[in-house]
Amino acid sequence: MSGLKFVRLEFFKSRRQHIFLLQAGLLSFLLIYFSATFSRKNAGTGWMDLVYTVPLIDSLVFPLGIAAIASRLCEAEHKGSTYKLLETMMPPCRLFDAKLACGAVHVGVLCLLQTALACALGAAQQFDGPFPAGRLLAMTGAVFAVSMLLFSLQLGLSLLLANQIIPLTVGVAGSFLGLFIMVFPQIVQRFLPWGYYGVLMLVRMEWEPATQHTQFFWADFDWFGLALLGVWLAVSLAVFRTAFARREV
Amino acid sequence: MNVIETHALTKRYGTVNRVEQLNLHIPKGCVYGFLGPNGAGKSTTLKMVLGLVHPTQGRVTLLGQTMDNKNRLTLLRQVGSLIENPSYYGNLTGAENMQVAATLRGLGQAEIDEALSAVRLDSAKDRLAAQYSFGMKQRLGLAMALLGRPPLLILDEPTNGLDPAGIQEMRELICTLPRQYDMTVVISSHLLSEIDQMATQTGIIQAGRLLFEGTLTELHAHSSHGLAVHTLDDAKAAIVLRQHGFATKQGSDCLLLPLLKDADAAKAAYLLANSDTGLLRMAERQSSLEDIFLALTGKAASL
Repeated sequence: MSGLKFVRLEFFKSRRQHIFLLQAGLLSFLLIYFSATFSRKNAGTGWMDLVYTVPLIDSLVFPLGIAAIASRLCEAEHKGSTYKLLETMMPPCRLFDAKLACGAVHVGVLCLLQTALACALGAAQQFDGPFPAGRLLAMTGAVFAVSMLLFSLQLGLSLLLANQIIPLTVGVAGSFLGLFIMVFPQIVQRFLPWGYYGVLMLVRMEWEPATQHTQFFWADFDWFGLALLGVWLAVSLAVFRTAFARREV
Repeated sequence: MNVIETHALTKRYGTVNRVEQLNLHIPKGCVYGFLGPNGAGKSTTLKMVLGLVHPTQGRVTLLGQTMDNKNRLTLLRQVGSLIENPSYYGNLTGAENMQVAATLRGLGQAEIDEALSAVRLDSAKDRLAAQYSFGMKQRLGLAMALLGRPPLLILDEPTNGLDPAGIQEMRELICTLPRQYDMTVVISSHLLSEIDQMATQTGIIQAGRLLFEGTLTELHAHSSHGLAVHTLDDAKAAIVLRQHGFATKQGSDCLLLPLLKDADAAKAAYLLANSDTGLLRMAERQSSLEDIFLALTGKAASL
């Protein structure tokens, strides 16, 4: 059986799990937040504000949302004691991979719709200057990459632990941690997976204590940060995939 | 030919051997009753047979081939299983649950319909599995195991949690499978009566060790005939009989003697009648399957 069929089966199995409602809820919250935030912004720096605001709010909202998506994808397996049936028909690694791919689609759709929503609001607010397509694309890619790292952690926990309260608590803690760690230097942010929304930001902020003036500016993409994120992702996948494959049902 | 053989199969958790040096031989075409008290190691053994639990030592031969990581799933394509509680997706209907299992086994709608019909679940197939009663979930689990008519079916305590009517229905269904679909059925249970009603072969496990393996007829041959003597004073009766050379043993509610020749039985009756022990009756007794189980395991059988 091909890998694609396993992924399709995951979508089939997640029927009536209301994952799309969860995504709609997240997007609705973001819509309200963006509407309130962007309307107060200076149209001249609007696009820069947007590229700064999206990963910032994602660091608060996405860890919990991603934990909830991962939990919904795994909850039915625990409730229905399905591992002992599934693993007589497919290797556990394939199950892990299929759920990861299924989650990647959900997270990917969420990231794309979020960018589309933010851009639509930016256009509606008539932000000045050229449309920064490249930076928006990089921002979406960066948010997706960080979200996939968090999803791999949450998926591993949700697959291994029958009690879904634990991974969801990790998600809540990650949400607070993700936002809190933004006040620390980048070097500190790199030590925690939830800090990478900040590490890969394309807009930086400088605050002058004397004048209390805040200044935003475009920054180069942090390729080293992305490489570190790749290492985190590889380690997370290796640890959880191996643990899932080796455990006994 | 044996469809399942285990060779010195052992599973150790910490310092405790849950299953120890187990050598099972399950012949093709039988209903094999795997009997043992709760916690004896039945489920662990069956999980090792399915590769869900990794043996600490020993190996499993399934359908003539030694099972390893490489051929496990290929071999298990010919095995249906229902281990402990039934597996199901509560958010899917019965038919959709079957669709999941059929997709993984590479089977089609015809096989789904046949399996649902075999467990008489076709009329409820469009209801969500979460709304099923436990008995229906158990039948759904059995339908998934029956998909594609595998030559070997492994059922771990399939009547657990069912009401009496459900138990009878499940037993009847299981008994028809070898004839109807040419299957070998392995069924584990802690219920002696259940195995007695369904199995043709049996294995008895206690504390991870196999105590007996053979046909039910062979198991019954373990039973011993004897004479049960009921008196008003068993202690005094035992003394009287021993003084005259009779071997006695105290039973739960009577005095037990080996089977005697008529003349010896008459002599024993005469002695007791004239010794003021209050002889009530003497009767020939064959130990029941429960007695055999008790003798083998040292534990009372669940009934």
